[in-house]
Amino acid sequence: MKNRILIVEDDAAIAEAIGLNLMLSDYDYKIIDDGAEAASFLADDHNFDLALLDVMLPNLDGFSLMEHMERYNIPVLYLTAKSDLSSRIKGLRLGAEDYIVKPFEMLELLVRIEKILARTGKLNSVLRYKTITVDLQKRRVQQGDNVVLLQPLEFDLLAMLLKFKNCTLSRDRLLNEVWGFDFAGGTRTVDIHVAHLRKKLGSELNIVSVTKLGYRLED
Amino acid sequence: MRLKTRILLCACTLIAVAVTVCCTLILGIVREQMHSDAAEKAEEAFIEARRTISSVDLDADVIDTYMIYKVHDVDSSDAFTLSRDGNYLINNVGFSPDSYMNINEDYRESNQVFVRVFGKNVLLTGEYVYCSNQRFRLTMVTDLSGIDRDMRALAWKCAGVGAAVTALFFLLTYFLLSASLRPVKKLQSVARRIAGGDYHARIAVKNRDEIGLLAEDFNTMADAVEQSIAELKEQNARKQQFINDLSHEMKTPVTSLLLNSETLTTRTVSDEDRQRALLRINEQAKWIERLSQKLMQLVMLQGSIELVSSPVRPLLDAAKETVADSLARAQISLIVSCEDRSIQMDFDLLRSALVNLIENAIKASDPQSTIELIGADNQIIVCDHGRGIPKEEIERITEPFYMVDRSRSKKLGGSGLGLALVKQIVDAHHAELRIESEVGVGTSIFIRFSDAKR
Repeated sequence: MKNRILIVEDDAAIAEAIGLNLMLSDYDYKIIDDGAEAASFLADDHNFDLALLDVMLPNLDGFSLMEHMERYNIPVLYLTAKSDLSSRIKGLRLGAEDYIVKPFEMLELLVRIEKILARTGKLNSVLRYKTITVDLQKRRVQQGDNVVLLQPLEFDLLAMLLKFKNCTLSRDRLLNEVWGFDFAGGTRTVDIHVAHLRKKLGSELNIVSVTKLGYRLED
Repeated sequence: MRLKTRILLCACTLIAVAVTVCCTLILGIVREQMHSDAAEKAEEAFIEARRTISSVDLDADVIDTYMIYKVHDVDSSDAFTLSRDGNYLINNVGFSPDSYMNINEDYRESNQVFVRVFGKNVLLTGEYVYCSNQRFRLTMVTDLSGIDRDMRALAWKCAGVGAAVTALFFLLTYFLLSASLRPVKKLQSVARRIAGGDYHARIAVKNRDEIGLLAEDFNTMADAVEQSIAELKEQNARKQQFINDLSHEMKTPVTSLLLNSETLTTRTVSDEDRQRALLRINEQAKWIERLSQKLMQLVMLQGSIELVSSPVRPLLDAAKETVADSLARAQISLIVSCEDRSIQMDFDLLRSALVNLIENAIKASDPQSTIELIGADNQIIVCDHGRGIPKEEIERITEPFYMVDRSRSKKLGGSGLGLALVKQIVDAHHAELRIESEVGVGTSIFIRFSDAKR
């Protein structure tokens, strides 16, 4: 089942761009552009795994919306132009899972969303791609009925590409997320591991090299 | 060296010198007096001694013995010497007193002289004594070391008293100086506090002397400094606020541009989604363009402008022409009424202000309604029958980036700078901006010029 995310943001251009990206990353979403409206909407439908809240909203601000989210146990990530420390602290004190300051990158938002879902145990632990099944908990990869044996780093790389399906990931981003910030090796490491994955899973795994940017796993 | 130390040192040196000089003078006088007393006494004793040596006629060979005998008979005869022709008949004083003094024979009084012999002050009293045609020389030696001793003791006492006086004077001067320099110290500490950023610091002025007057002037200076610092701070705060607001205002369109362009570059999206993302990018870019234009105008307005006397009617007509498209789109009619008169203006700027006001009026009005643009007396009035502005918001709407209904204003393409710009233009014309509004009834904005000419 897809994770469902609530977006409360009064700037339509931002809300729609986020929505489009969420959809492409296999999430369901709902956009509301008014604080008070969001509060009343929750009374009827509160089946959300996460809420992305803007702080400055018409009628009811994002901080006030927090109690409604808590009532229905929805984790909150604030998106806001307010970068001062006091509002960040206020947001986190109120119980927000995370706080992201505008302007931000979509990929960063997606990573944070995934981390929150994993932390709150709402993330789907089994990823599917064509005939490939990746079980994040058991760390097992199956292609059709065959179990494919992967090195730990190869597994993490595959998981990352699957989580951000249809999304171009730069070599640096992959290095940071899979190997960690302190990894001393160069970006060539990524190329080698991608080559291993292609070899082990065959042509079914459609990893596209994007010139100058990185890699993208396409449907 | 500090002023206090300097004054203290000078004063104390002066008083020490004065005391020393006084003591020396007094000691000299006392010594003189004692010596003359001693001389008088010596003279009396000498005369007494002479009297006992009565003149007799004796043979030359016994006269010496007689004289020796007579002198021996005198009281304290040890102090006397007797000589004849340079040969001492009696001398118990241990030196030759005759060589220290010459006796003036014409002088009727006895001859006296103070001499210093072997480190001792002595008084010599001497005279020739004639006896049996023989000339003897009788000299009395008076030891003055007693007087010297007394003088030395007195000198020590004087030195002690002098030192005590100097010390007392030192203490007194010290306290007096401290007391009169205390305001200076206060002045110094307050000056330091002000230098350290505590602009509220003032000196409590008590005395009316030079230092008191200086403190008063100092306070006046501190007032001036504090005031201009406060002005600078406020100005700075306003600028900072503007920059904060601007950067906050820029974040939303920039975020939107980033998100949409990022989506297009990193993700595979359908043609329809691509088209929509591009449209959003275009809209946001346009909005940023509008914002930067308004900003430029605001920045340009910081300089002074040249006012020229021009008729009002062409101005109102030009403003109407500029907003004709917006009026047609919103299906709103603009009624212009104007008296024939001239005011001091910068035509382009004032038109831009009026256009801003009319566009605001259009945004607030419903279709089919009317907006009035009136030039009467020394005022230009923009009047609409739209939604109006809540009372508590009127004061703030000329602040940059202030919007009564943020999301609605954004949808209508408002930058939040329009009225701030109008206010600036009106101020540059030395005119007054007044806003009257009632929610649900409408808004009237008055620009009142101070020097309207018929």
